[in-house]
Amino acid sequence: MVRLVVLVLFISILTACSSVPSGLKHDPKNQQSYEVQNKDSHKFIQQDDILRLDEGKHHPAVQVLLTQAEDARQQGLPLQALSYIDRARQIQPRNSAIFYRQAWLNYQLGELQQAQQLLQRARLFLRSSNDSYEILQRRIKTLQKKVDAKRGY
Amino acid sequence: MTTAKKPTRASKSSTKKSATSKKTVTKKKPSISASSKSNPRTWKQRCWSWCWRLSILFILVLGTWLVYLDAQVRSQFDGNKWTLPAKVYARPLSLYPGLLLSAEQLKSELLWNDYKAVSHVVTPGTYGRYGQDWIIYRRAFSFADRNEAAVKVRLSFSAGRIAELSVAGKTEGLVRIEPQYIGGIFPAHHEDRELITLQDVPPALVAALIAVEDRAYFEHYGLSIRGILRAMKANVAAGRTVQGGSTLTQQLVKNFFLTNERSLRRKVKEAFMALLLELHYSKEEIIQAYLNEVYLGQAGRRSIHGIALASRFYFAKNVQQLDLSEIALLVGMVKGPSYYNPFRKPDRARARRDVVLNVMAELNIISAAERINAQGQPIQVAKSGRAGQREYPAFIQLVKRQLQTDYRLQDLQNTGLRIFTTLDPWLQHATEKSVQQHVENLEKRAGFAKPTLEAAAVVTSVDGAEVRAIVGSRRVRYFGFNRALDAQRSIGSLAKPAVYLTALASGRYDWSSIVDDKAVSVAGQDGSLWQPKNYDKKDHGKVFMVDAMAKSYNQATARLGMKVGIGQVVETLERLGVEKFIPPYPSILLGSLSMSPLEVTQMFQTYASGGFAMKPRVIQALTTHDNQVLTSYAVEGRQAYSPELIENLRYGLQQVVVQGTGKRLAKTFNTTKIAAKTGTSDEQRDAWFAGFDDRHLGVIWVGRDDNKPMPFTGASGALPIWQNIFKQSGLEPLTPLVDLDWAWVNAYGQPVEEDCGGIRKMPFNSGSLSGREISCDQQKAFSGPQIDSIEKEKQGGSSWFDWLF
Repeated sequence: MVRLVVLVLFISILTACSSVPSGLKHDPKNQQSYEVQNKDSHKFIQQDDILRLDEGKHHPAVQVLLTQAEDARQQGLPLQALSYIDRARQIQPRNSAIFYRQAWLNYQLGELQQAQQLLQRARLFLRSSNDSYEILQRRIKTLQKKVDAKRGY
Repeated sequence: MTTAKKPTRASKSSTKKSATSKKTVTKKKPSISASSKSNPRTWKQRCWSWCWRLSILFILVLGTWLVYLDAQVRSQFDGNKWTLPAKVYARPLSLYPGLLLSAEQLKSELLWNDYKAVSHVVTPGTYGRYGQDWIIYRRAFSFADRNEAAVKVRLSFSAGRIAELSVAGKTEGLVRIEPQYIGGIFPAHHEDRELITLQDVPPALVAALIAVEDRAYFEHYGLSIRGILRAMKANVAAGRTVQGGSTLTQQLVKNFFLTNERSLRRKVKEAFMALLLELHYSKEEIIQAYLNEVYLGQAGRRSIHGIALASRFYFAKNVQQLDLSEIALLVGMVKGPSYYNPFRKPDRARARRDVVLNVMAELNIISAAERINAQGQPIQVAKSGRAGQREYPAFIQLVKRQLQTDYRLQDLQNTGLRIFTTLDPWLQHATEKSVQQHVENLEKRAGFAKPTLEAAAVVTSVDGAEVRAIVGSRRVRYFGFNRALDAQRSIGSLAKPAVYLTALASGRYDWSSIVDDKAVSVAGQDGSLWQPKNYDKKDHGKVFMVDAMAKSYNQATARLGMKVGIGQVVETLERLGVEKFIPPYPSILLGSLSMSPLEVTQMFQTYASGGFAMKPRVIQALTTHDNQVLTSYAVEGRQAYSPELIENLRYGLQQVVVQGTGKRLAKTFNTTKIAAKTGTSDEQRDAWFAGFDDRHLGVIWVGRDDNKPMPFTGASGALPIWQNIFKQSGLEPLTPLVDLDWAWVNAYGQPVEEDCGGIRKMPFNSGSLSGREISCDQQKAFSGPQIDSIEKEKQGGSSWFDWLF
């Protein structure tokens, strides 16, 4: 009996760990993403740039697509990576983090004008209510500076 | 034989000799005649000589012809045997936790994709529903980005959304249902087929085909003398052609290389080619080619070739899933696909199927019990007009047009490309149904004969400009003139938001600005006068700018447009995405400008997306037939206007629903968070409606091909179609893109402090209110409008009371 209780408890804990935050799952306007895995730890994150497209914590469907995009990028298929991110955008059409990643990838590809336009979209949909508002805002600014520098502004 | 040849040889040699002597010594003519006299040839010898020569010539010609035929056979049979049309697919249905999806939509999309509802889900292509839980056995499919195996998906719904999603007991974030086939880009002959290898064809099907069509297939070398004799005997006995003597190889040759011409010449050619084919290729290769080549029916303009496509077309199944009854029916139809068509002639098809089953049992391909069981089954075919086998002409035409900018038409028609598009079948069906129903209603109301009215519609996503649905005619299966793309019609009041946007962008106007709706007269360069009137033929005096827009006042808009400048309005239209030449005439202010529904969509897309100008997009990805990605597309655009300015404009467009020509939408959807504009051209020749919610933009046009007037406006003719589409797809109220500053305004359009005599609350660009708001004291002391600037249009009447009444 005790074993059974322990087992049930253990499974419950595992289930709780594996489930996505309810805020992400039922976010009606599909705008939320966390730029970092643990939302409480973002104060300690110093990077002004992402290293991987699938960084952070996102809606489960978006997470799947960002992971696939990152795999494609690592395999040297940036256009395919872009198409995965675009699918993520269609699922969450106003997610600032997704536009930021599209801009980031366009910047890597040298598509500066497109990167510039997408950064504007990322800024437009960035909400102060977003848990990663500050970090994402900083990242957008940093990328904007890089784009401007390359474009000679 | 030997004796017969000798004199010929002798004569040939003497001829040679005489020819040589003739060439070298012409004077020796007498000796030649002497020689011929001394060695006279009989008529028999001469005849033999000519026969021999003709035989040699015949053999030479035949040999050359055979070499030519051989080259033809091999060159066409090696490598790619068929020109494969491009296959076009809708968007896949993506399932993920949190997705708002009705059970009705899920069920419909599965059915359109040829899924079958079953009580126990054990095979791919089936699904089961158990209250709020669903199990879907998704088929294996090569998506544009990867191949995915068949998987059993479990999902549960809660409050209209997907709550849980799992595959094989493991929670999943995203699962795609394979996309629906929506048409092809065909070469002129419109042949469609799906290729299949022999290993994938059920052995019973191959055995049945051989048993029925050519029992000696594995014994002959392309021709069956026995078969020909048997057919001759049967035909002579019947006094007409009742049986063919062609082998499967000959049938393949006829279908693959030759025409249906009934001539001896074609028959001889067929026989030689059959021999050559058997010489070079194995029996297995030939039967595989036959199974892919055979003609098995017609679906509209599309001819169904090959067992694989026929299986999908008639039974909505893969070949591997066919049962004995279906196998026998398909094999039986080879004899005459039209004659034994199971859709039109089920009894005839059944009789033919039973004949095939009898032959199969007779040759022990199946047991007697299997025969009895199969013959006891009714003819069950999938509906020929079902969504999965239907084409979407207007959408396919747009796909073709967009692809032709990057690819040659020939490559699209011949190389088996796979095109993954943005079409949303659910929205497409809603749009088609709505157009068809409403146009008929309008005709009834107007007492028009059918068909008098035409219509077109385009629906896109607001954030990505993906085209989700398109209808180019009330006849939605019609492959002719596509009004959504090519009809150039006067857009009427749909041009007005561009005039108001120009005014707002100038910084000289707010929605609270007062504009004068009184008669206006503009002289043209040729001396003609342009004197627009309101729809109700009345003057409305001084009104808020927002009311002029919401109620679509022509005079006020014309005056405003003339003030902000026609050139500026033209520039606005261009920035919004209008790519054609716009003549800078005053009449363009009221929409005397011809555009197609797709062009209007592109213009309104910029309003819907918050100022991001994008071209409507239909292609997601393009792959080769073996799934190499050629191109994939992502969102592209430019920020044409600031989101703040567009948000401000969207307030005006929402007022159309709150108090203007689109008022009935507020009642239907119980919300005013919809941005819209009606449009009616001169003499009511065109009725337009363009509107968007938080997810989709829809543009509707209704009119007559002969451009004659009709008794409908944008609100009565086009709006109801939009309303029905959004009713079915579900409307999501607009959410603000950015925060604007709001203030109460007095009757003169001046912002006033709260509770200080303000009559309406209106938005202002953020920061633009600073220092403009009138305090309560000022308001009390205020006795009339102050014309502080020629630019400001805040010129009220004598008092707000007068203005009101």
